[in-house]
Amino acid sequence: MPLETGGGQELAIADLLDRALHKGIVIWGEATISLAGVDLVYVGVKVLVASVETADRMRAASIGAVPERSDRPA
Amino acid sequence: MTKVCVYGVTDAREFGSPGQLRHGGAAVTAFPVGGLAALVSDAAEAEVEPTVENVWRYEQVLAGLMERHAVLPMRFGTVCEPDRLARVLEARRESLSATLDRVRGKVEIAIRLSDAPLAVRDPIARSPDAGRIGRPGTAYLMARMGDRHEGEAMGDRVRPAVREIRDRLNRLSVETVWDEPAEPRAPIKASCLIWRDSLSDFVQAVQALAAHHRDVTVSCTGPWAPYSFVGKSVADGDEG
Repeated sequence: MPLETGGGQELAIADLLDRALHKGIVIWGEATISLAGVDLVYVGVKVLVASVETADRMRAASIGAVPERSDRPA
Repeated sequence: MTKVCVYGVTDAREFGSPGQLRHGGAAVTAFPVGGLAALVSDAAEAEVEPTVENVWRYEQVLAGLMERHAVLPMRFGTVCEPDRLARVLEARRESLSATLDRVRGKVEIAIRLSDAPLAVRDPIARSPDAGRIGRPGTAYLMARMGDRHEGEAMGDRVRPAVREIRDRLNRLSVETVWDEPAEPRAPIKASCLIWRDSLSDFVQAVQALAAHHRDVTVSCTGPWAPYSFVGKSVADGDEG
């Protein structure tokens, strides 16, 4: 379990999602579940939600229906 | 051709006994190319749906390997054909190797600074419309919109303390990336790259900073894979 000080596990998860979904190496031009630039919001520790539009994109990407060209990370 | 889910890149040629690293039902194996190797699993078996649980398991794969090797994390959900992956690794071998040297022996720590209590707040309880809006995402977004009108950005009152904390964190870290908030009252975020051996000292220093500057709430989580220090995208055709 990662350390958490001054935050708690919910913040640890938010920090992880900030990184794993928005940062890291992207293979340019490859199909990924890219969420770059999407305003993700976090509710609690179990549910990851976004706006209706981005939620639809996430769903499509997760089942491979619409392979998405990934954006270059910031 | 069967696609693979790619977790990260390392210069380790093997990751221990077969099946030692797993992502849910998928065995994570080495995909060697030149002096590098990618951590991959069969994409059909990998759990790439972006849920909290799957992202957490993904991080555990990286954490397991990071205990012994330098690792460059891929963004969650990267799925790629093996031939394409091999071309990318080969084309960017030098820059990836240099980045591996840059992060070797180090881990990333996430820091948040705020003049308000830090928490992932319950949006349903906070939203006045929670009772009639059944969709938690809508309630959350409405609550966040309300936040924008509650006050100004982190105020003058705490600015000197924040500056001192930032200076101290910069000195404690090998490298630091600061993420300035786009919204008023949102916390300032930092990613600190520190030596793994200094983790305990770093945490103690952060706790001391938090105790000294009680007007500023400080959170510290990690250690994470060095997501914020792996550079831009990679490709076999153009520079990322």
